[in-house]
Amino acid sequence: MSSHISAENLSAYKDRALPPADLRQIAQHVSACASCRQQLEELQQVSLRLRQQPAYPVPPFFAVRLFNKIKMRQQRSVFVDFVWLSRRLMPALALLAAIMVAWHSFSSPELPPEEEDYLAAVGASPAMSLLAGNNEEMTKEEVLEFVVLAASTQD
Amino acid sequence: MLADISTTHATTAADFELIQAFNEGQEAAFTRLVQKYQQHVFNLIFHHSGPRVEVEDLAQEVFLKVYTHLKNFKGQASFRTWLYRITLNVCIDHGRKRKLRRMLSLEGLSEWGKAKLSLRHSTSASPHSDAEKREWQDRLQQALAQLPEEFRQPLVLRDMEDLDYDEIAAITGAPLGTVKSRIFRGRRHLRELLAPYWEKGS
Repeated sequence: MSSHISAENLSAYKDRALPPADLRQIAQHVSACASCRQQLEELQQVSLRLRQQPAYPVPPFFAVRLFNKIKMRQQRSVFVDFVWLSRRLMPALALLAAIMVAWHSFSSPELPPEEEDYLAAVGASPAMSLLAGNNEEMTKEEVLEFVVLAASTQD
Repeated sequence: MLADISTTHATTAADFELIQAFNEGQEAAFTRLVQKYQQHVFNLIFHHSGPRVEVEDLAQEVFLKVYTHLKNFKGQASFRTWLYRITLNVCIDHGRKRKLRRMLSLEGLSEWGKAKLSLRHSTSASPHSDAEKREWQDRLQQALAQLPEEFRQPLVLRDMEDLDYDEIAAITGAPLGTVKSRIFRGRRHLRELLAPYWEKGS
């Protein structure tokens, strides 16, 4: 009898995972060699036992419960995204507001106290005061005239 | 039995049709994919990770990953190969976390010891009655859990999921020769672990 077949090849032979020529050669050998046949049977017993293990019971309505979970996660994900975005945007908005306030206060020259009183007396809005303040060349009469004119155009 | 379940594998073309339908917005196609493969995923998780895991939780995790990434599935491998790879990765991740928890608590070490002990001292021989058959199944499950992961993975895929060597190589990322060797060594190792019971005439 030729030398024995390696156990690894016997295992692959059992699975038909060898080239056809090798399968034929091993089949011939095994039919004539009790030792290799015994080894092959032992490997087959292990495989058989594994195949006979029962299937794990899938709980009823698994697919339905899974689908519900996916939907819940999607809804939660939209909410989480919104909260995440808000948290990220909040400091940016606060910073932008601070910059605008700072720019506004630096670019507006202060009026002398008597001019502020005068504008308040004629009922000028802060925007009008600002406009008046931006033009240092304007006299009180000119500002009054401008305010009256602006008020009349609003009507 | 597991061998019967494997016959339900349909052609990959049918899977691709379902995937395409899902990507076009038909969510029912995903449910059909789940129903088609849920039994395989449950079996694979149970036989890979053992009886102490929450199989349903892990199966949900697997299918949630599939749902999230199905749009990126390119079809380079079959859907089954892709799904099994995800399943094994989820099992491996879970195993790592469980191992870490055990190391921290030392609780699992005693459980593991008890499992080994019950395997050694159980006296039933070949399975004749239903009770003996169940005992054998438990014993085999315990022995399987004791196999190193590198042997257990290909053995479960081959003998319980009936995959061929090429598919197992694609799923595990191991070369074909390594798959062949690991399947053999897994069988031999399992046979050794169960040696006392085989000798009693099974």
